[in-house]
Amino acid sequence: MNFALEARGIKKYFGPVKANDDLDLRLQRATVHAVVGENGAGKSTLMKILYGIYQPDSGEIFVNGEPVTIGSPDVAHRLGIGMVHQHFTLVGPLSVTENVILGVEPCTRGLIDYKFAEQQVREVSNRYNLTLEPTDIVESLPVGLQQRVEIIKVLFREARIIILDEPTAALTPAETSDLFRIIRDLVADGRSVVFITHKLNEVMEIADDITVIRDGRSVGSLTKDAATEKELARLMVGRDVMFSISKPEVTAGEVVLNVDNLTSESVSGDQRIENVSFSIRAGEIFGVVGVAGNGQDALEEAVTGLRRATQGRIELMGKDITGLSTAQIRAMGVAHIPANRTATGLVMDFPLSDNGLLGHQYRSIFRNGPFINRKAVNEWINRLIKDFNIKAPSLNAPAFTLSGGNQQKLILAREMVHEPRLLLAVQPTRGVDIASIEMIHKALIEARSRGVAILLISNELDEILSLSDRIAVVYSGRIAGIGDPASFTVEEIGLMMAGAGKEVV
Amino acid sequence: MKSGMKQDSAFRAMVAPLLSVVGAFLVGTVIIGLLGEDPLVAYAALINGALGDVQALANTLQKATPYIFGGLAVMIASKCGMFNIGVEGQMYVGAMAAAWAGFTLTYLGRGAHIIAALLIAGIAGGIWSFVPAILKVRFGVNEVIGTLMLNYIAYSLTGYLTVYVFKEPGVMPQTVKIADTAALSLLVPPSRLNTGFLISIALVAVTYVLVYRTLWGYNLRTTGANPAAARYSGVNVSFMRISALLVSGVLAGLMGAERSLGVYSRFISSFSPGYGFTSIAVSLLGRDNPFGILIAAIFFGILEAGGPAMSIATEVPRELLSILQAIIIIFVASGAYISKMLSDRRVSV
Repeated sequence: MNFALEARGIKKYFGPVKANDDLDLRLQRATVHAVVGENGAGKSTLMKILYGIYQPDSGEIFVNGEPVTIGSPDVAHRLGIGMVHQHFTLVGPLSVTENVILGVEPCTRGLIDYKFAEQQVREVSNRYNLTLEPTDIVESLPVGLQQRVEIIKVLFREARIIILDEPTAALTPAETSDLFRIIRDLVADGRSVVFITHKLNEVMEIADDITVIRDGRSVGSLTKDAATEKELARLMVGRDVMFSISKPEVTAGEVVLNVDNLTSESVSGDQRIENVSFSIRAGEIFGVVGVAGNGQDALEEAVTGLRRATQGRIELMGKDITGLSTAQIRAMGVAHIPANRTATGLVMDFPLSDNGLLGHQYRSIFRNGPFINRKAVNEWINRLIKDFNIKAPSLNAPAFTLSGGNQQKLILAREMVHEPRLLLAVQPTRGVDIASIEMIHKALIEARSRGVAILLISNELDEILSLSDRIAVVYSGRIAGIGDPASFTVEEIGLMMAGAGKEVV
Repeated sequence: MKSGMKQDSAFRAMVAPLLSVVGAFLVGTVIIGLLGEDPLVAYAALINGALGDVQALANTLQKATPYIFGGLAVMIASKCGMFNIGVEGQMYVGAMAAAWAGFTLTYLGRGAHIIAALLIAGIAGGIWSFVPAILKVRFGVNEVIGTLMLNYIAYSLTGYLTVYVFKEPGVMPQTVKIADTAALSLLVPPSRLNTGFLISIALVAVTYVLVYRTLWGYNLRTTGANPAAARYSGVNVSFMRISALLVSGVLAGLMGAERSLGVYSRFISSFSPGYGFTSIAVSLLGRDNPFGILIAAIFFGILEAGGPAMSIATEVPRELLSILQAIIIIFVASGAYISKMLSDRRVSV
């Protein structure tokens, strides 16, 4: 029996790093094959090899049983392999049709035949029920629909094998279930799908076969019926994983953060927050969830003094901090794990020692007058590295040499160690491995037990629900619902995230 | 692995400039060969002319001095993520201000007079960089445009002041001579190498400490490497940018003062063969490191001081050295690009 796509013994080294080290993948025709693994396990490298972006150092690839060399994405297209990237490759100001035909424009006498192209796009859209209008401008579409444009692009190039790289990362629960319906339609049509993810519940829902990757090797190849989430997690991490988080009872103390009718300015046209009110007590985790781009950035920046409030008040321990500088707010005991660790939380070219100091450089213990007290800083950072089990070659190693999980642990350590009154944790586990997720969640729970007030902003609904004492759902810069997480069903939260919920208080 | 990382990166920082210099000299060898001259003879004359005896060496260091000041000035702005291409203009106003103090504040004693003249030159250079700094921070005017435009104003303004206000009688477009009390002493006369060189050496150490050992320097480097991270950590990014350009301008002003008070004993209109612009290359070759800049500046001094000797000993025109400077700059710039490409590739694993 031959497979739609088969990869045998794929090896790809980047210097000393073994990104792929003897990987196998067998994709049966007209099935969904999930490739799961933690960040850095080698999933993306494998997919880039299958799509012709990288060449393997050794190993063989077969398409429909024929040995092939995929020298470039063009070759991949000719072999019927298409890829939907995690970060879309769309041109925002162009229409759906223009995006779809980009690079394969149907021409008559040197002119693009838009009529024909639009007709084709409409046909594909109707066949798979994608509900896309060929003339719509792509940047005006929600993320879920933009993803469908990517899917049409792939179908337009007549792909029989479709690789979806972390396709649900930016989708709402409703959009995700729509995507799954589309995937099933594609498979029913005889196409084969490779579905890359690290979300195990999705694997169990959509996959027929599963390949688990760890440290560049395939460590398990099983059918869905033979798999359980627990087993998959064990294979991914290489040991048993705790799924439930035990939260000790904590009596919430005094109000630490009080946000009253806050409206922020909008920075370069992004979503501002409007008339937002909530408060967080000591020993309480307040979770804010929503689809990315619904005011989370504005909230994060307003509370930390990075963005001006145009209306309303922010109080910390009863003191008005509206309009104070970031340095002043930090000095009052606010710690901040930012949404984007590489763009904001770290200076990637700086050594660990300088990154550990970030945000604490004004503290008198790290200074001798105008000079930085290197000895005190290095001692402190060595302690962080030890206490938080950060794997780093040395204090002088630049931040970019650390894995995502260790980068995040460094930020967490740096922000937690000075016992803040308020901890702002934004997407604290985005793009980190399961072991680090466990560790970060544990650290947040421990901080809660010590009486830290925590504002947790995350796009991961599971994370919000398992950690938070109270939650708020944001939509379009406003709070669409606020209260005890147990008082909502997941469906209700999903509806509120999509803007369809009614105000519940 | 423990300290290997640091050595590795320090080593790699050295490799590109060294390879660039070697590569440039190889190209120079080919050119000299094509001119029908013996490259070894030409280079020997160059080295001998630059380092052959005490006077030659002093002359080399004298020629290197403005590049030390200028390279440091470019470096400070660059560490903050900005490109100060107005060092030339800031140097001109500094040179004029120093000369003015030199021939005006004659009632001061020797020490006080020199210090006052240097101070005034630094302030003048600082004012000249403060204007584009404010334009950038308040109105979003790119500092490249702002600093460049002020070069033309500086050039014309000092020219005007020379010819119409402070002119020495005669045909030369130069001001009257400064008082002896304001002159920087010569170290090995008759060479014009003066105590300004020692000041520049001291500033190498001072700027190193400032950039790598102080809170201001930490905030400066953070702002330059990642302004978003700087803001997140509580740094006032606007303040850092203004103060960085200010310090940069002060250094450029001192650069001008060294020429007026130490070399010419007056201000000479359009005295500079492009010191401020070549300083950008020096800073690039020195990898934005104060000690690297010191070495790069002396290297440029060698090329300039040895050039005449080379063109006397052989038929090779001294313009070849300008070509070598340009080739070095191209190599260093592309070397930085290539090593960045390599390290990006490494990260994207």
